[in-house]
Amino acid sequence: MTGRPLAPLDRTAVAAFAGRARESGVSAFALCAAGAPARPAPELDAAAVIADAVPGAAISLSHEIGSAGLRERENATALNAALGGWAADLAAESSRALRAAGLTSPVFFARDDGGLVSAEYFRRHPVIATAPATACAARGAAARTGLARAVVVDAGARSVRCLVLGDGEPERSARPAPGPLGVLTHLGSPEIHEVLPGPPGGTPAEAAEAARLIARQLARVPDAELLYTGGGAESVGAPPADPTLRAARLTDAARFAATADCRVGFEQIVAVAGRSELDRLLAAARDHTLSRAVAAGAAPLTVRIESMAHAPVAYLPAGVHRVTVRAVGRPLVGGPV
Amino acid sequence: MSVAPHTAGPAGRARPRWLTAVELEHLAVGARVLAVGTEESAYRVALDWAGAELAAHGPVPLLPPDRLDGVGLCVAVTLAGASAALAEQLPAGDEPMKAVRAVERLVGRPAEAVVALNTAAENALIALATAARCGLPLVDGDGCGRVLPLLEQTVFTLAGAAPAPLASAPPAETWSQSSRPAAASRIWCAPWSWPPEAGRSSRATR
Repeated sequence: MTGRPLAPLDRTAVAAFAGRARESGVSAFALCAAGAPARPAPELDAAAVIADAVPGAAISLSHEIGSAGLRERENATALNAALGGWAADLAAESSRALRAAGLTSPVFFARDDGGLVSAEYFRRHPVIATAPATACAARGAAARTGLARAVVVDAGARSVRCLVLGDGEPERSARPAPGPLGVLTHLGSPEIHEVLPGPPGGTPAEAAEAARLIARQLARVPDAELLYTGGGAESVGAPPADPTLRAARLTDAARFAATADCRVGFEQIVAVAGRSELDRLLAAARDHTLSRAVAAGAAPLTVRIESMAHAPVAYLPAGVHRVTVRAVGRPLVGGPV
Repeated sequence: MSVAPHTAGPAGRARPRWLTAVELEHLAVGARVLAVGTEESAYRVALDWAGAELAAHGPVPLLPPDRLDGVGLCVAVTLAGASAALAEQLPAGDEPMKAVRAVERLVGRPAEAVVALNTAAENALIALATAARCGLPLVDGDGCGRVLPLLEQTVFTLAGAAPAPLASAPPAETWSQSSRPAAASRIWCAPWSWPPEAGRSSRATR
């Protein structure tokens, strides 16, 4: 956590492992080193060894994916590696389908928090973009109504979910939570409460339970409006709507995703001797996040830092800080697909 | 020292005689309330650790404090350092036992019970993990009824009682090979006789 080396990397063992993996036909690797958010070098070294031993290997590095907390980061990295094939297929299929329909514009994928990333970035970081619909629908509903503070109920075809918007942003989960495939991860995704695990209009008991859960969220967030989105809104208590409003609710997620910005996050632990070194590393983190936004498909002239926070890590020696940065930019259109 | 737990608490409510996976869940919920500043990831490490020790070594007897005879060696186990470090540098699992064995060597007596230094998150759970691993009962109580950062803020240093000797176990072999002090969480362990004997002034954990 302080960036101090624990032990030298055993390159021979990594190479032997990679050789065995290649012989068994494995080409996707997840690398997770203790302390990687503070010191990514061992993961980068091991990745170089694997790339030498296994041509064409797809390598997921934990310091690029998760935050501090070894087990949740390891889970997220393994999921990212495992989802690579799915993401590549989805990206290829989407491009093919759009080309078949005569559309040649670049393809972007929505992340779980509603931000966009390019198809190439999605293929390399699929773990952040497996369940984006509710965040997109909530942001879309907020844009449609002009509400920035709301409890949003998203009544989709398969379940009814609820999330809280503050300042137009979905409330992010502060604790590790089940991510893709139910595996525990801590990716800072929006906190989504499933209020009804079936199609809208379940049994009366289920509907009553859902109403209670929604009421609890409303009580927790003072002054929040209740906002409905999704095709099944009326079956979970939304006031009757005319066909225009019904269509708007149904298309909130799609409209938002089609107009959204590219968004990326970056998290790091830095160990510094003083204020000037901290300032230098904060500037480096800022630059790194901006270039990551460009890598995720944002137009270079439009990228900006959306938020940046740093705080000392409790009970570690002075000078160890956790840094989190988010950057945003307009999707670059007209570039390579 | 008696290790026969009884069933009824002071309020007449049923008190568990043994701590199993079920009681661990209850303890963990309460310990989480008292530790708003903990890293969730570290808390889960401690919870799974205690669960694994219970699964491997069986239920732990819960010992009411009034059954302590004031003569036997009762060891308090706690985590010193950063919760975030525990979440990143996972324990091997034998650290508390190493610390307990070190104190036993220093004092010249075997430990007869484990007590939690405080009831917050990792500390409550690691005390249970230690008791299970060492095959000792866990005292139904703790040193401060919540969590406070300093050793002298616990009842174990009341009236000038000395908590020494203390033993610390670093979290993994790689750390102890280092010549520089490791910025990691350490497992600390201190012996208490009950009631505390008057002694020298207390020492802080940090």
